[in-house]
Amino acid sequence: MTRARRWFAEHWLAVASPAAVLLGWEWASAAGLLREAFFPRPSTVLVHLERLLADGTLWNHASVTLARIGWAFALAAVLGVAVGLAMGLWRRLRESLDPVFAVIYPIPSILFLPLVSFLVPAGEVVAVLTTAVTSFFLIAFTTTHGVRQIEPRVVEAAVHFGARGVRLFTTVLLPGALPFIFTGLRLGLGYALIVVVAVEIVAASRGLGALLWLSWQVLKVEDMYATFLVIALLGAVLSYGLAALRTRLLPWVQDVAER
Amino acid sequence: MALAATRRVPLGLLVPAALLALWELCARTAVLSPRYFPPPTAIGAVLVERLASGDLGGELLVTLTRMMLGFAVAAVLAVPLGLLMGMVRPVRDAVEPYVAFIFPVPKIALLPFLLILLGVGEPAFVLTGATSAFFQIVISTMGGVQAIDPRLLEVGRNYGAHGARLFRKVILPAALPSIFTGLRLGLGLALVAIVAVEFIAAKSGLGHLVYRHWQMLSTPEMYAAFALVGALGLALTRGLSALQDRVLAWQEDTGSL
Amino acid sequence: MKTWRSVALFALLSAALALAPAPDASAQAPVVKIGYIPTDSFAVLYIMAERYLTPAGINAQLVRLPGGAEITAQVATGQLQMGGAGLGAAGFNAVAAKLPVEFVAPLHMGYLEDYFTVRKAVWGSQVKRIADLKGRQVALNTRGAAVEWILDQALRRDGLTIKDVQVKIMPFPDMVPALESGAVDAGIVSEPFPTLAEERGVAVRPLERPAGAKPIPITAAFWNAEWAKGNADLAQKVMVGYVRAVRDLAADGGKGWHEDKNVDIMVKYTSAKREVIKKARPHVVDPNLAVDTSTLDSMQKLNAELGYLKYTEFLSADKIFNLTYRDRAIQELGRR
Repeated sequence: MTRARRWFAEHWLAVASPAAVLLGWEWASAAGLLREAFFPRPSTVLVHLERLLADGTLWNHASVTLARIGWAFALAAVLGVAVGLAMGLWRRLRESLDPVFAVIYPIPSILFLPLVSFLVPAGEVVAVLTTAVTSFFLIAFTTTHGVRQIEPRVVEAAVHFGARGVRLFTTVLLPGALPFIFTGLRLGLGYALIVVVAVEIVAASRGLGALLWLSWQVLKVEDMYATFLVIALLGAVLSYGLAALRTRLLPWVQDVAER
Repeated sequence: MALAATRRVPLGLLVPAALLALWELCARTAVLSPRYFPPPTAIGAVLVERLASGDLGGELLVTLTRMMLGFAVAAVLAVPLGLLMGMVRPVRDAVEPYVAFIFPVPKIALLPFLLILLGVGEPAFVLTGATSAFFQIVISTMGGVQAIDPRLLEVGRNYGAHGARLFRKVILPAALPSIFTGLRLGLGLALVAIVAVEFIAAKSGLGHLVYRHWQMLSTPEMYAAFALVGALGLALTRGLSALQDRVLAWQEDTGSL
Repeated sequence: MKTWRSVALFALLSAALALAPAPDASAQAPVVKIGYIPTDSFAVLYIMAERYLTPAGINAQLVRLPGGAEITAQVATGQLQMGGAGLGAAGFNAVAAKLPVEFVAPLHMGYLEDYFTVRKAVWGSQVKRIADLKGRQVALNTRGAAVEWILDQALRRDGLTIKDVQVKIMPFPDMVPALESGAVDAGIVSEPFPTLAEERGVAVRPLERPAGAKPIPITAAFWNAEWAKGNADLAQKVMVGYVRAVRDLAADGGKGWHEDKNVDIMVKYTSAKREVIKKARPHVVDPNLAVDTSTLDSMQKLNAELGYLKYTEFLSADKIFNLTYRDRAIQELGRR
């Protein structure tokens, strides 16, 4: 208990600041300083959130979004790590694919939606593939970088001690690249959320992004805020949850871009 | 992403050229439907024509302006804030909750709220781009300050530097690489956000062009706009990396993360 | 460090330029900003602004926006003074939330049969009757508005409801290529686009208008109630101009919709072609701005079923419409 209390004593501002803002908002909205119809009280938003949870709307949409992210990330991760490792290990491959990747990577993912919709029949696959694209490139890039940044002396030493092929890979290359791979996966997951929400706003009738936009179209403002809250929560879980998980399960793995 | 520059240029160009040639062949022989995948030569022709007539150039300028404005607003606010947060604990405590909360949120989700606040128009679009860049820059800047080796600070103080002097001579230079990385990433994020907003809600700009031509199925125009966005993104990424290498020449590896 | 300073200075200047308000050139004439969507159902607003307000010294600015929600929200916040939109959830919710939005006049009415458009390639073969649209893609330009209700009404004629089809949202102009390519099999399309589709041989309107059919109110004009109260004279002038514009279009039993002087203005704001507009089926406006409120309950019912409403007790017509301005304008001009 004292550890928590000590943290609180040192960091009370971190709690007080948002609390003050929320309370101030609640008051301003109730007092009419903020137009309540467009800036509803936090308490009202919570009530609407509860209602959305209770009647199942929220879960209906959230589960669709989560499924899309899940599939997209799985696809991007498996292919991204595989291609990234291959590119890291074989120079010819890297040199051939590099320019293509470098051109495609900076393109905002949402722009791939039309292309994917031409290639694939309308439906979930379109959303999943579009969501997977940038994450794939991100993961591939970081994986490649992870392999290439391993100090050559380490590899030399291992070879000197008789490590070859698969053994070299599993004992030296993979562990050496792991921090980067992990960072890439974490960033890739965050990106997947960003893209899926954009895709849902544009082209879907279900999903958190679709719910957000629909609430806006019919001016159900409290639902807009409630949905936003859920999206923010999801973002936090995906970003920070994965980092926390890593600290617990793989504490020896460094995260290269800690934030 | 600072990938190794290769001397073996031919291979690097060979693959894209081969892919384009394959596409051309498939489109012309209708293996790929030319309606959805017009031959690259057709796309190139449209691209040249529209650029020459100024249409595409105009839209490019619109996107570019929104991006630069959004980035400028973000940078001007985020760098000082990040520095302050890195140096002054109470400031960090007070502000970090908001940063941590909003950073992982897809900024496009802010669009409806900005539309309410600012109406449909440039300010809402620019601000969406600005928020995307803002949080990245704050976090990178703050991280840069926090990562300064405490011994550096000690040495600085031992030599009589305090307050503003310490900041200018020790803290700022030490944090500069991270700040620059943050700015570089932030600009990229601003572009992505602006193009996404244009795709969804604007009536001008490259993102909107892609959307409109998609809806009308005028695919050569759509791919032309798409290619332009890719070129813009590539130029930005490469250009900024090169700039970072120049400005921070003393750094060995300017890294990508 | 010099680089930093100049970068920071540049950034600051750009920010200042971007956020600085534009200088007000015409501070004299009263400004009335009117939000619209570029279809010819908003013709009353275009004509009102160009022919009756501007010459009377009122700075009427037409602001093009993507949809009813945006227009409603901006009128509610006062960024716009007036706007038009489909009668639907956004407007109903705004009124229920006690936002200062009041509907003041009907904007246009229409016949379901003029809107219900089916892809020519499937009509008569895969789709022989309305019920065959089950599970197929149908285009709407927005959710929660009168067009959704129209689609539901059309489907109900043959035993389906809107839940039996897959709705795709797209702007009206995009519906024509969508019908052509088969991206959608049907749509609720507003003039001049169904005519354009028919001209191109892309789609047909298979439903016959029964004799004695009543036109359905589809869009309505609304404005910011606080602005109207604080600028009563100006609001009155605007309403008078509105009635005049309505009568221009309703002239000669609706022939006003095809008169050159009116079509000119429509072309300007919708960028549709003259010939198409002249061939298009006219919308319906009543010269005395009579409002058919009988459909309001049915519309609210559908919206409630689809989960669009944030209130449960339906609003009565007098809560949604404030027709006092209309009455006073008609008094001034005389009934037709």
